[in-house]
Amino acid sequence: MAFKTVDLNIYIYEGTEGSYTSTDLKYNIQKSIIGEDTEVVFEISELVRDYIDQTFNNDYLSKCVWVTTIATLIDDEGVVFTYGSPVSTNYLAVDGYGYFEDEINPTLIGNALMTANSIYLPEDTTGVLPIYAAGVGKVTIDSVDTEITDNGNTNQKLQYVTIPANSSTIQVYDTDDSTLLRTITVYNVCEPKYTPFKVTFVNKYGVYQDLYFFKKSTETFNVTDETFKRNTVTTNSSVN
Amino acid sequence: MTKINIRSPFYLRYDEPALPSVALDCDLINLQNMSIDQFGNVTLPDLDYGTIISYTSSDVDFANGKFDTVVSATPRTVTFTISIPVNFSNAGDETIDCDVPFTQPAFVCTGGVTTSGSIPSQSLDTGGDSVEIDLTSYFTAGTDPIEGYNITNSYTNIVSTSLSNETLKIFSINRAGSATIFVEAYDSNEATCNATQSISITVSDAITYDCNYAFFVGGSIANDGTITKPTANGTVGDIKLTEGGTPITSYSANNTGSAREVTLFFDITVPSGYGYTNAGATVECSKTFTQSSTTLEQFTCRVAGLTGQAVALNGTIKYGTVNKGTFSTTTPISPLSFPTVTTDTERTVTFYITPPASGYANSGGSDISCDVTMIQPAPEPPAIGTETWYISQTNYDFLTRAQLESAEYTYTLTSVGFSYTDYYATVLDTLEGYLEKNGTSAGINTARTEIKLNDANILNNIGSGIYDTTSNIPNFLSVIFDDVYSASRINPTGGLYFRVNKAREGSSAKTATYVQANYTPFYFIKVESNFRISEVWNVDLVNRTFTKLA
Repeated sequence: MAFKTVDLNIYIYEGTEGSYTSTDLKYNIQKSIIGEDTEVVFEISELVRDYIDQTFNNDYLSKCVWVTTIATLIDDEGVVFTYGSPVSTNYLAVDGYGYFEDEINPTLIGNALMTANSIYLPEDTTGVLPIYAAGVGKVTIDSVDTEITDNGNTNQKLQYVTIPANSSTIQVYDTDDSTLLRTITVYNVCEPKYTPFKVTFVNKYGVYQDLYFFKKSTETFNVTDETFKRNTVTTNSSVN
Repeated sequence: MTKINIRSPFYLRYDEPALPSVALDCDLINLQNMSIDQFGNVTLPDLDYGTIISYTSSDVDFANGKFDTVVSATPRTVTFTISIPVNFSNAGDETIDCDVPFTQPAFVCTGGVTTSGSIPSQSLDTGGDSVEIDLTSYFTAGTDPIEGYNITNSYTNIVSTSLSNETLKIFSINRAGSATIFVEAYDSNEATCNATQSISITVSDAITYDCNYAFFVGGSIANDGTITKPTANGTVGDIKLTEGGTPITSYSANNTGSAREVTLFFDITVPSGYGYTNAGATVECSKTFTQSSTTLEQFTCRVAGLTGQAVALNGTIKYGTVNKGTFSTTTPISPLSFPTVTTDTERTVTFYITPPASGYANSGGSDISCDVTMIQPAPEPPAIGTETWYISQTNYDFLTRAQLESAEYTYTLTSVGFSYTDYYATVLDTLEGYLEKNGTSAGINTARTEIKLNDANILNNIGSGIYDTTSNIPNFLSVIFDDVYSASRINPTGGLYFRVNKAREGSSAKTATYVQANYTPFYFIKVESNFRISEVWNVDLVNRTFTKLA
């Protein structure tokens, strides 16, 4: 009796972790060990990505989904293992990505969801700070605390904290409210001659991030511009 | 919970699940569906893990696996002793006791099945002895016929039972002892009584323990001579070098440079209580171990372990694999290939293996050569054709100078040239050289020997064979391809070129001009040493042009 096949059910849904129903079953995949391999490998990002719908109307919504994988392990006689099977795992999927140096299966940071430690805003203009609610206890902006709560629902997992106009310093604390995780400096730029334009993009952490274009910017960043056609056909398939 | 970034690949990996390492407890065993009927008989429960070895109860009216009848419902607790499978962390405890409560109903039945006499006591020997009992002789049906029998056996470590219709069969196991089992007969009416008979069974020792029952597991001799005893069925005691010899505690270190086989003898005390007549006695049994060397072993062909080498039909050699080391990247195999054969032929190939970088006395040293002898299979003989063709027996190793050059034969264009003065061109038997040397008056033998091919279109005969009118290989081909002449055949494949014509040509040799003018179309075919056609050419003998058609 040797390990041979995995029957993988992938549930993709919104709401709270583990609250999936039968209608949330999006994929059923069967795959067997190939040749002398000892394990079965699935790549699921491409499958999940079809279920995060990126639409933006200056509303800064939490765009993420729960993914629950249930893998039934089957031996070479077609019998399901009585131990260690099924394997059920929950994931929170966001529309982010990792670089090569982030290694395989990047999970990235879990607090302020932006790379830079500085934000440039036009004077007298409010901004937003994207955070991962499950990894942040509070955000302090110029000594004013904002407690972050997370009820586990996907619509609260990614939150956007309003940065009051003309703020200077943002401090992001861990869930114990005492461990300082990040300090972000806000630069309020005076631009009397030109009209700053805001560009909002989905950054590597899968959240909306604002970037203002003044007449000159010292920010360095990379942008991936990719279009794709969403494919959410409901069907059954078997891959061996 | 893990966060997935779906613009990067995210891989799920699954491999063989690990066996549970939890301790087996009664919750996991999950005893269920146990019952006690109004007659006090216990129905064994189902369980998820382990095997029920025996059961008991602290109630005073419990004996031999059953309770007395009661006048009112009575709570009972049955304690089951269950074996622990080896996969659980507490398998070393061997057994676990689990209590199951059940309320025995009051005895309220009337009428029904009654006993008829008593079932006599049975005596069995250990080791699978058995006895059959016809139960119909010991029970009498009431108003309703007997519908079946229940067997209560709380001594499953001593006897086992099977029931086939009305015949009960009792088997002994490898343990001596006494057991009492119960047979309960019942009818189809639930309001009537069942009847129960007990059977006393005595299982006596009958097996003599010898080395076949030792079942050695493990044990070793280290290269410095340290001995680790194996485990066995019984207690392993003294170690000896020879049967009946003096006990030893260690063996000599192995300084031979290679592993060696060592046989040791062990005293085993025969275990008691398992049905062995010689329980407590000492039996001497041997086990052979492989003792590795204290010095590094020489990397040899045996260590390399070549497998999977083969010679294919077309003569190419398959490398196969080596268990240790790698095939040399500097020294190729010898020979590189073989010509095809018409009968299965033994071939010996020398493979060169590079020793592993470390771990052997000759690691980092020269490649070792290993000869492997294999059988080169002969292809199935080609189908016998019926289409008549004619062939000239004159043959050429090559048709063109380009073929000669590509075969890399030792002749020097600068010093000799490829002209009519080219001695090598003549010796190497190249048609182009022959025509260049002799011009349009070159003598060309006519195609007059009848052969049979598969098809009238010469291009459709690639891969097919050549036969004579009696469906045999033409004698002249057999002679030409005989090994005696193999040294003079210099085409790399061992094949030769012949001229063929669908029509029979005139007698005696003609000039190239005549043949070209009067016998066109004719073709040159390449015949391999397995008598199959591999190439077809169109040749203009006058203009000395060569066109390969297939």
